[in-house]
Amino acid sequence: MTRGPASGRLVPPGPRPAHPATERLPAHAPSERATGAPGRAAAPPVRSRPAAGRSWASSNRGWTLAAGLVALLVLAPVASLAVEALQGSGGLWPHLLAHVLPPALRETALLLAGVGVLVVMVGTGAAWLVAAYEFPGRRLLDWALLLPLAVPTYIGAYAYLDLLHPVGPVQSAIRALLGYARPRDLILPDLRSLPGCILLLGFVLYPYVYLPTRALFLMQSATLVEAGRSLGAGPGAVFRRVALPLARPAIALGASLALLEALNDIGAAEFLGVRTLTVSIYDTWVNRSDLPGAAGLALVMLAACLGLIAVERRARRGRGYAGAAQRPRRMSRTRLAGPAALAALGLGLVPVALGFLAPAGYLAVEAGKRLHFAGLSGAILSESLNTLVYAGLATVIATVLGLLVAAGPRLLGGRWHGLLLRCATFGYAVPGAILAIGLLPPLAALDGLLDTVSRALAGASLTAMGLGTGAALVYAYVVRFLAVTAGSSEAGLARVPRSLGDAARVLGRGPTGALARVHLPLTWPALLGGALLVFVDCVKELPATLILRPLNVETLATHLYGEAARGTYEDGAVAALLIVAVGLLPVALLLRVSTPKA
Amino acid sequence: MTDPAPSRPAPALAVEDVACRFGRVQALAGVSLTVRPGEVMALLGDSGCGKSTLLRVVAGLETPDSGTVRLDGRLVAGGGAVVPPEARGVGLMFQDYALFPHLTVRENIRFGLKGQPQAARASADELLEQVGLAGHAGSYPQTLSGGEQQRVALVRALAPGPRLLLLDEPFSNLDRRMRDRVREDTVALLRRTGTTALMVTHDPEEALAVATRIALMRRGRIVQVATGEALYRRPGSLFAARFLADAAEIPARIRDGRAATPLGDVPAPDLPEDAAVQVCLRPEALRVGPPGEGIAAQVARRTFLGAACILHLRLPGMEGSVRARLPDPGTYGPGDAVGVTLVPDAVLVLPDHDAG
Repeated sequence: MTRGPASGRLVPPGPRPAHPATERLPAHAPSERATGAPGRAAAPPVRSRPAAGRSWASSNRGWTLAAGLVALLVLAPVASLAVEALQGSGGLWPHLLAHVLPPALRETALLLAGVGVLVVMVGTGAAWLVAAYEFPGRRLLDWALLLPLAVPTYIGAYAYLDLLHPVGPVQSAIRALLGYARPRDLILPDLRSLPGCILLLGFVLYPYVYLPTRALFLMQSATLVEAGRSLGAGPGAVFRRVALPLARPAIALGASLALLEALNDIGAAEFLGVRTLTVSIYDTWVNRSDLPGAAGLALVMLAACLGLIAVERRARRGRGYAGAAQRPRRMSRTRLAGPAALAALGLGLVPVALGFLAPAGYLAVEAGKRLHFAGLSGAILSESLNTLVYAGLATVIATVLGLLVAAGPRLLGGRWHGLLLRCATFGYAVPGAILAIGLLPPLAALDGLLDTVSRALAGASLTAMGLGTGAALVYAYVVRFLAVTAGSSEAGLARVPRSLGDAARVLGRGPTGALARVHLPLTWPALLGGALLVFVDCVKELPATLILRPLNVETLATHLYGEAARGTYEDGAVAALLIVAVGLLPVALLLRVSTPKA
Repeated sequence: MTDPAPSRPAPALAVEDVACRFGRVQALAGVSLTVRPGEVMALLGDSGCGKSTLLRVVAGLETPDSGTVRLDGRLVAGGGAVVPPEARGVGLMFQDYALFPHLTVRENIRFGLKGQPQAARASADELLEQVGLAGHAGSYPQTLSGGEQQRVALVRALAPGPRLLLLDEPFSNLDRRMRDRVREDTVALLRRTGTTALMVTHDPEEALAVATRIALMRRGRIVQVATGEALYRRPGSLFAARFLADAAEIPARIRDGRAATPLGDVPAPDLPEDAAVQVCLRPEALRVGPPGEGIAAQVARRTFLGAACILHLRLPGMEGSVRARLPDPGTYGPGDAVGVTLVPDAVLVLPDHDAG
């Protein structure tokens, strides 16, 4: 009781003089049936809700239908892949098995293994550094370590290729320092190699591990660490024997996301000359026009992705975050001073410098030069607009559909809606290149059908409505990133107590009314956050954009890819800088979301 | 009540043979219950006995597997009818109040008034004033104290004028001192608005204080429906007796229509010969007097309750102690010898087969 009766508010209603309204109150009570009670019959029946009962069943069914349709849209490309790969010529699989798959699989496996080790080491180490130690600059490092998230892998590769080029600034500086005159006098290891690609991807993708692991370290109960210390374990042993095993689910989650990104990457691997599965798929389709072959490769890659997710689920099994999150008291940081503090700061700055400062700084300088020299080109403006339109459209659609599939299980219950939700969010496991290849056959068929119909009806040919207008691209974005909006909707809705929704229902709102009046007002920050993430992901997306964009339409990402592929460095830096700038938006958001409240 | 319950043909609520299963848990196993207009009925039982499920079935938040639910004679569940919660015209007050945190107190209270005439809003505001919260109409619920939130929840449920108000453990979130006060206010408001109510509680004292009738539930079934006094004085089973009050139990068998105890025989004319019974001695079933009256006993411990006290008595031929309630602080202390006689009306003799 926070206010005593003395405050005067706790007045028992009994002794008060009866208000006229009090006498009217029973008049609310009558049902649709005439009650026959003289006092009550006079008042009009206040409660009349005839419509709700009729719409209940149909709205429920409509919802299920819509969610089912969304799930179908997501699964269609994957199904079409399977069909396409099976329809290929008889010689397809032997050819793939003999000549394409072995090198691609080997390269991909080595790349994934290398990137996996690197992101776990860098991500976990950085997370422990900022969670367990206090030193000057820690707060800065806390968020700065997230910055590489803003740099898509292909932009990192684009920047580093130029930075580390034999006549680029870094090698020139080294030569000048060591007194060599010509590039051929000092041969440094080439970035264009598998190890180079691993290093690059590792230092750009480690935030995927850093983010959840840091959050988990911060949530971790202080008592666990203190118990470890009191049982005689030093700080190092506590990290190894207590914090690390507890963080395993977060590390597994982060590593699997980073590896999915690495699998999804097409630009960096291609620029650096690593023939991964993704590159092989793109190459098979674009350069050899072999759709069944590309579909076959895509199926193999999809299997790899699903395998990765299965491993991640396994690693996370039985280890909830929740148990650790119960304790509000946080671990206190060990204070570092003098050389130790400096070393910590220096160590923490390495990933930031490699993953963000160097490429972004380079892009800023180059873009500045370009803008000074040539001004803002019309091409960049129109590409920005294209990017904005496609990404914006996809974001709006993905947000609406994500809410639709996520709200189903919450509002209506039933096993079906849970299953549909899982189907609809399957797209996050499907790399962009696979998705695009899977979308080609059904879209081509659809375009053909539309064309035929149009010719028959209007006599005019209607070419490439799906592939030609960018609708296909928006579709691919939505499928790929629906998991993000559905996930954030789900998380937001899960925080609304079930009784609130029930209360809205009992107070006369249907499922949709409850969603609009109660759930949406309470979850819009989560929805907005999800939408922002999707928007940025769409802006950054490269493989599907390359394959599905309408002819002669460029986005910022494809422009950059084109210049890097041609080896021309004109407006590329400007486009890249714009993408990185957009990518910075969610970093701030992620940091806020992932920092547990004290 | 200002307005005597009108004689209607249909009960306010009629639940018939409702069963409800969640996976492997049979939450309701054939429940039938009738609530008369104007009545406050309590659903009393342990947690997990299905009482909250029954409430949710009546509200329309759960669909029963079988059986029917009628409100004022109108079929709302079962028999092909599926009336959603928003079309049932019942109010529900949630255990956690479920106040919308993004709406002010006034907006919360008007939430259920969509499509109702202006007068409904005025009377909702009037209700708010009656519970002393008019000054908080513009506040957000989370800024109010627990007791104030409880009243907002109550007013919100009452504002649309439901024909039946369902209350789910309405007082369990309040601390003890506050609870009695709020309980009285709530009952007064229900009476004044002539609202029929069905209240879920696990607290027998609360059920006795609030309800005109109590339905005792156990494992998805209704064990007994009776007025509070009847349930307390004449429980139909050992379970009901145990649920309503603590008692010392003495196992016995019926011989010649009587059960023998160390304190003397107790008549049990309705039970069959040789039936195994428990003789339940509630604290008020023992009269304590000076030594020499009745059976000799010794005071083991005394619990002082202010106006009354409880003596823990050790009786010859019995293990443990038996509690006796004295209507006054009394003069007896530990170690004193006393004489004990039974109060025949307060002793319960119940068949010993369904306890658990």
